[in-house]
Amino acid sequence: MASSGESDPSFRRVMNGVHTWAGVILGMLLFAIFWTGTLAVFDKEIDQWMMPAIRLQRPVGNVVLDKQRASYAAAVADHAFTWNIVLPNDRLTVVQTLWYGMRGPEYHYDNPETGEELPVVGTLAGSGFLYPFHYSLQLRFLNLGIWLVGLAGMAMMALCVSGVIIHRKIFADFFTFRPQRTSKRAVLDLHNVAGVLGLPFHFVVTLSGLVILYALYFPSGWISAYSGNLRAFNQEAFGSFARAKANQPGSVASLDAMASEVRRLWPDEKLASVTIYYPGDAAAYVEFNTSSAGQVVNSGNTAVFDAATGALLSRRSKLSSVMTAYRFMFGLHIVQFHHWTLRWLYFVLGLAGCVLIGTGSLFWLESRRRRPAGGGFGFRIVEALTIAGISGIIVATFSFFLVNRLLPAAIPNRASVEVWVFFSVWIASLVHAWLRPSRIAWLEQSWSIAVTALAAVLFNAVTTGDNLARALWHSHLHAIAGMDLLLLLGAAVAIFAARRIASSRVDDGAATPFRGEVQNA
Amino acid sequence: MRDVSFLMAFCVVICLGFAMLALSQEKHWRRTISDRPLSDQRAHCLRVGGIGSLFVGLVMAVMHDGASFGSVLWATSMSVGAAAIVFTLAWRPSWFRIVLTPFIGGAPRHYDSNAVSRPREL
Repeated sequence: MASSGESDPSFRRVMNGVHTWAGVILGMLLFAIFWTGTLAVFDKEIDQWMMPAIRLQRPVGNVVLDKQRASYAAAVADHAFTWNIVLPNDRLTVVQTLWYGMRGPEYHYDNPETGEELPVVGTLAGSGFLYPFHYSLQLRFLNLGIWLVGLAGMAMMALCVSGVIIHRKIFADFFTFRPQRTSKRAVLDLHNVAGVLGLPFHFVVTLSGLVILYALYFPSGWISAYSGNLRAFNQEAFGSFARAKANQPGSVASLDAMASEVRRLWPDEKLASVTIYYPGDAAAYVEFNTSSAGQVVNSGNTAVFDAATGALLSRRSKLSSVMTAYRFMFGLHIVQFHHWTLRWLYFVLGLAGCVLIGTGSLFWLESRRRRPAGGGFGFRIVEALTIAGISGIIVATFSFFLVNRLLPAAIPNRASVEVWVFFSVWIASLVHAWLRPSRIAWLEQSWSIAVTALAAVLFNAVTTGDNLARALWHSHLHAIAGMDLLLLLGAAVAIFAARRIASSRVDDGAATPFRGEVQNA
Repeated sequence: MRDVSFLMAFCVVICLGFAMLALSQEKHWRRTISDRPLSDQRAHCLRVGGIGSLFVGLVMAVMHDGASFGSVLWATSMSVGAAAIVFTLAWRPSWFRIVLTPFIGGAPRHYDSNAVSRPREL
């Protein structure tokens, strides 16, 4: 958002217009997508924090799959289309079973040693709420959320390109950040630094995000070539096995016998997941996937067995080069591989994306505020949306964590209550931002961030006993320690921001505190 | 332990690369190292050294993590490493002089410590 001058070539001025309009209209949607995407980098760790029952030591040896029969029987009774087990790995130390039943997705967590179901409190946590929100905004109707995210993704790429074009001194200002200058200048410097230095990551992560959902965003290819049959397309593209349902009751042979066959086929690979298609049907088949945690390409080997007899039906260890490229983009985006340094770098660069989007919006507000006719109704709308979009969603997220530790385990629809709290707090932050003067709104929401973050850490320690010292001491609780430390860091930054806002001159509006505020995002 | 020492060496190489690239620009050179102008020859050396250092980082990352993880690690670390240099230039410019003067020289004869710890407005 470089300011345009008289001497600008017209192309640059047009790009400036594109950058400004796309930023103002979609900026806060992009912020929400980047914020939840950044949190989803640690979705399994958030799950552990929000579901104390799954904080177990990592099991030794192979999990006995046939101990999961009770869960399979429940899926059969629920008329599930598939039943899936995720085996323990370095980020999830328990067995997760999942099926889509009459009431939607059913997640269950079992003790890997005994097969007993763990008493997990009702919560969607990271992988059930924050991660799906990142790509669907939880707007399921007509896939509206996914389309909005796609629109925002296209806008983000246009913003990246137009931002580079309108940046006048991209190399001369490559390392330039002047916090001691006016707040408007510092905000623009920070926007430029986050944009230029983070450009490779932000561009690639946005592009790969759009590529992942190509079948929805760009359906004409497979619709015309496969007469609208997505399953037939997937079967050929991924070499996956499929057959029709028999509509006769059927049984399942020993899953452990099949697993040892998979281990014999690929002795160097680790089993990652098992999926049974058509649970309870005579034509049911079992798909074993090996782990792809050791590579970027998100695709392991696959072996498929007949469920009733245990006979090997199909196996696949290589994808076509096009699908390998696709799964590389997929893996690059969803970061499910085992690489802690990269995971942290993704997290930091995701936050840098939040800073980029936040500072862009703040710069627009600052520029507009100083214009003679700047503070009108439209300006107030954008200002309130920006406050709710930046500090509001952070308060909402931390409230989501906090309410998870405060709600009793037994209340009905507990998971929905948590989600309801998230959205209620978010909407309340918008109302608050609209009713209060902007400087006061930033100040109060910064304090709210600090209070909810500190309370979340406190109540985690009180309700589970896994306080920070204990979590740091035991290696299986390091995810909890990391979450607590990040919440404390968030609180510290929010307090710093709040103090800066409080000490800023009133006539400077919400200008001075921006730096601290946005870094918290 | 091998991973930790690799990461530390890798961070040093990436940050050193961007530090040299930053100092090859007159305004950062004047702000951190010396009041005297930056000669073309020295700027050239710093630029070559900076790019070379980043390339060494790529080789290190690929050798340690393989081609795919290594290149992703390198690309993402570049963003974070460059940002570290930006914030050091903004808030702790004197660190450049302390760390780099023994290697590249250039400290003025009558050095005014206030000029660095409280930098002028650019």
